[in-house]
Amino acid sequence: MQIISKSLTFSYNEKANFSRRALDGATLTVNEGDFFGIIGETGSGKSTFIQHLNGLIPLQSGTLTVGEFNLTVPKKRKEKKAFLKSLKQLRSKVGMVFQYPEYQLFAETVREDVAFGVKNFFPNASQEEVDFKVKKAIELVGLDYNLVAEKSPFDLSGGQKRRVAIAGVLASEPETLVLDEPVAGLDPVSKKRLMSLLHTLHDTGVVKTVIIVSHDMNDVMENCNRVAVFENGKVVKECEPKSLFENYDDYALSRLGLPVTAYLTKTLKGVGVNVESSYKIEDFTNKLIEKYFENR
Amino acid sequence: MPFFKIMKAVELKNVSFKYGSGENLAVIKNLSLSVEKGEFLCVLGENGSGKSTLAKLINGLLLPDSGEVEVFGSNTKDKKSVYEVRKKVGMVFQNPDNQMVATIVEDDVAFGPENVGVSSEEIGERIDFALKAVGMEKFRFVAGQKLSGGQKQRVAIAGALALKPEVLILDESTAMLDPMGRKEVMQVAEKLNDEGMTLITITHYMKEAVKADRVVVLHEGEIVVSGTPEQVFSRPEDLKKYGLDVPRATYIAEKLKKSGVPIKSGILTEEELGEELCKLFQNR
Amino acid sequence: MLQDVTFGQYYETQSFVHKMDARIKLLALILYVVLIFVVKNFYGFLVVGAFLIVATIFSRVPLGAMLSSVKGILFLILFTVLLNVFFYQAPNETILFWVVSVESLTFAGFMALRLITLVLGSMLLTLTTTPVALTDAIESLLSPLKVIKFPVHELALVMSIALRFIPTLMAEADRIIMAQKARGADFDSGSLVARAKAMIPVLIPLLISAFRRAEELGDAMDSRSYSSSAVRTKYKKYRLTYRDLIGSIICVISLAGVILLNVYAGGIV
Repeated sequence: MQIISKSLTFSYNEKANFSRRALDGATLTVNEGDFFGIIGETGSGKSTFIQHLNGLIPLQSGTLTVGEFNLTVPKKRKEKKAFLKSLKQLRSKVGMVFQYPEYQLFAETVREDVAFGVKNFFPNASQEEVDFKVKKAIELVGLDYNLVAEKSPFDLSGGQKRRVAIAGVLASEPETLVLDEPVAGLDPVSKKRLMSLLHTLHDTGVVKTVIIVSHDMNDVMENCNRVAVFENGKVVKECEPKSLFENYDDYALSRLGLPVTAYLTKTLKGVGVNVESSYKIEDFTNKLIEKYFENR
Repeated sequence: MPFFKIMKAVELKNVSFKYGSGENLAVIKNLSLSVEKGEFLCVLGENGSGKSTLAKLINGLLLPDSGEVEVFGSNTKDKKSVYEVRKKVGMVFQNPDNQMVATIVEDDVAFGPENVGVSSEEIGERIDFALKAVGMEKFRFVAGQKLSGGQKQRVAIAGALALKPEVLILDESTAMLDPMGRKEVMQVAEKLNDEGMTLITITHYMKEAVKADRVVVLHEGEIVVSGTPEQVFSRPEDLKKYGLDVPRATYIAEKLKKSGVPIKSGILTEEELGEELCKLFQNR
Repeated sequence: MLQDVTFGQYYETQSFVHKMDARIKLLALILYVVLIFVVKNFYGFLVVGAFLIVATIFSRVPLGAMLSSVKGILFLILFTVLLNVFFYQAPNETILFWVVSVESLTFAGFMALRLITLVLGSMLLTLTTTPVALTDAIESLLSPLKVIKFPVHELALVMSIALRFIPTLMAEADRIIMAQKARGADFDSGSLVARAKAMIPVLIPLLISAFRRAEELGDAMDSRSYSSSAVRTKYKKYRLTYRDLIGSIICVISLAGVILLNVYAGGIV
């Protein structure tokens, strides 16, 4: 499903005199099939934005549609009630993985924890159906069901816990998966594994759309096909990663730090060497090699 | 002890430690390591490699099951000297929210000196000096809650500095920060090291290891690789085996080299790589 | 959202009242509470009101922050008012309609004023005094109890740490609630039992998190040489200044004013 947000504006403590505007007219489109990256500094509004996508935060002004779903809160009491009820359906379709999702685990066994979402979203499902979905989700995140299902989630390693938390979201079979800083706190190898897991889920169609929020430029450049840059609650740039650095002087971008590939492109330009900034580090290195050996 | 022997800042001799009981739970296995005064040592290791346990062993928060840990000659096992050790070893932890004792910045920095009985006037001076050292003097009367992650960690460093330590350990202190915050904290730490502070950082960000004097890689409680950053990062295969990686700049440089581009070895930072590439393309 | 509750949080500025000694302010609050309960007539409340206005002006706390506290207990005030309007009985009532009389209305208004001034006064203390200063003040005022081996310092430290972690844990609870809502949890419907049960997936992670934080905080305190047996010093030396003298005088004058008015103006008018 497509996500279209127009002039989304949101303030915490809307009515109080100390209110803080977290979103200030964010306009953005995420197409079905995207591996979409949202990047921005802490406090730029990216977390507030994604919390709108499944109605965790009620719309204040602007419009937001997620697939067929219009997130404008109806004014009439009856319609509002129906709207709030229908949010549950939306939440099953837009899976949301929060930062450090392992901190939300609570059940006695991995199996029960993963089943939590399934039971909430499909209250009429039979025990077999629930078990089937749970098993599938645990296997999707690359864990051995027979090994972990009856273990306490708190006995697993950090990386495994995070996978269990992601399985807990996948189990209700969302079409879109939104992840806030999915690799925060992981070591390099776990980080790579988790990223490639997300790509596998995306490529095999388990989830149609993936949206990741990150403040690591390199992560976004290397993994996404589209990127939006948030700054002070606005989307200041929405493009393919390779066009992200056409204007190097962008304030938001310079504060976030250039990814290594863009940094090198910029540096080499300074001495009159033009290497096309490619966002994948391997491609970029190959281009450098080509450039070095051409016209010799 | 012979008179001429230079005292090590930190010395671990055949240290073993495990949590609880059971066969496979050993987190530090017969580990020996010494750190010179003024050195910048970076400990790398994947999650669960025992690196945080190592940090806690150094300042006596944990005591070794066997072996000795000494800080400037004081043994952590000795009940009398463990407080001396803690005064000498300042430590900053991972979560910026879990280290502040007091609500207001200056009260928090005062906590350490209050504990060891420093006079009120001197505590005031120490707060001045510590907050200045981390560039947070403007935030003296601010509530910690209002600070960014990087600022909170700088206050935590100030809290450690107020005890006038000789060794500063950053135990994954940048793990929960954004790139700006990481930079802030590392700049402060490197500046302190330049001024003579012995610095031990524990991290899994390869980038933070490149400026260290020495890097050790921990894996399942043992030191498996050790050397200068150049030496350590010239072994990408080994690092991968231990859950780590090389800095992106090193990765690119090595790949160029393999394809026959005459680039020098031991490139660690993006700046170095950029400079080197410019030279190469100009002299082509 | 939970973390937005600013009820009585320290308002940062450097005013006359802020600079007063927390012990004096605490004692003044106790006196103030006594004052409110000895007030017998509306003239007395004029004195209390004047006192509040003067104190608020000299504290430079925005009116909004003060009044938000009243909003917080609006329900309680309404409840008290209604209760008194319907159940207060006085001899020789002037009935307006049903059981509502001039006297019951007056008394209800009186009680409401009492509640409002009570909250405003305590609010002024917490808005102008950092939790640290407040716990220090409690520690100082309770210090005679050290003679009987009462752990005054530990008590004060526990209090200040608890205060320090309230916003952190509120934010954490907020995050967990959101995360479980995203997994389809429903906290707003169903029977009371069902709702209580729905809180389990929030409470368990919150509890685990609190323990994890406590452990880390303990390590952080230990590594900063904390020890309950050691001889501690205090950074902040609280010295009484002219401000405290002026403050105390104003408090005493207000109390005297109220007592005089009680004597000369009699009961509720």
